Amino acid sequence: MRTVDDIIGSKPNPDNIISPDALVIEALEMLNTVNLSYLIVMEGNEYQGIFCERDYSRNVILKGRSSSSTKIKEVMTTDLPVVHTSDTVEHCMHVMNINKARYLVAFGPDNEFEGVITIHDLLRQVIANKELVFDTSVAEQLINNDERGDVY
Amino acid sequence: MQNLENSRIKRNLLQALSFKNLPMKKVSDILARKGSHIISILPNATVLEALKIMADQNIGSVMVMEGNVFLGVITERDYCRKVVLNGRSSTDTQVGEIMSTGFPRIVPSDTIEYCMQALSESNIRYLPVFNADEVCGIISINDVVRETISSQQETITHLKDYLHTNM
Repeated sequence: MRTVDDIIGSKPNPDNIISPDALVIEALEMLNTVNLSYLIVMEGNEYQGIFCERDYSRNVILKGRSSSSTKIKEVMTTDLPVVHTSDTVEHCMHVMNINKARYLVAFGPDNEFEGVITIHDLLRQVIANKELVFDTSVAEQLINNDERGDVY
Repeated sequence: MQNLENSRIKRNLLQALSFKNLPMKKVSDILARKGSHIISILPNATVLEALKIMADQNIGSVMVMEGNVFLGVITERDYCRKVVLNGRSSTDTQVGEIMSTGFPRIVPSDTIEYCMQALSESNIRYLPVFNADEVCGIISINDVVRETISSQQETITHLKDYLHTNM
């Protein structure tokens, strides 16, 4: 089965990283340059959150802030749903759907930050390998064991 | 004999499970589930008004319409890329100046798989849907993921039903 590890491994090393003390206007320029919808907010090696198009649309002007005087840390998203590198792509789709999210943050076995997964990353996996994304073992179990016990 | 019969059934079921053979879900399935209620704004409204609608409705895009005529879609991305970076402001920029146009033309009979390709290739999150010349709804990348999951779950349910009636 395709996992979070496969997605992280298929993505280039991120160049969309910004400091929590940077200004929103700097983040907008970077979003435009890297041509992505989000930036990863890192303090040194430590993951702090993401800054995405929705954060700018909802948390700046509508809350009386300005892009030239507001710091990223005031408006960033810090509560992304969490997945682990061994989780399957199918699991990620469920988490994304339940949370109505577009991003997930991935942590490794020792809770180290591994990366951010977007809804587009999941879609690309489904397009490329539908058979490797959805777990048919549940269905196979159903075929092999019905509620009365083993069939075969 | 019984074993042979069982393995024949098993083989048929596994074949049915191969997703390539399943009838694909359509755009009309998404619209039927979420309704085709259209949230729209006039092209001469300000960008700030569009942002308020997005926040109030908890959505990331608003259709730009003049009467029944579809003109484009304003998205969070348009706001991030085309306002302050171009020296404009959200209070004196009109929606029509920054909206996105030129979407792939999606109709209700298109498959979810086709929408996946369209979203992925253009790297976008919304697709307006057209019926003849009129817009009849909008679907998002989240709708597509949700429909994909639910179609997967329906497969399992159908399989359960099939097993319970045939074994």
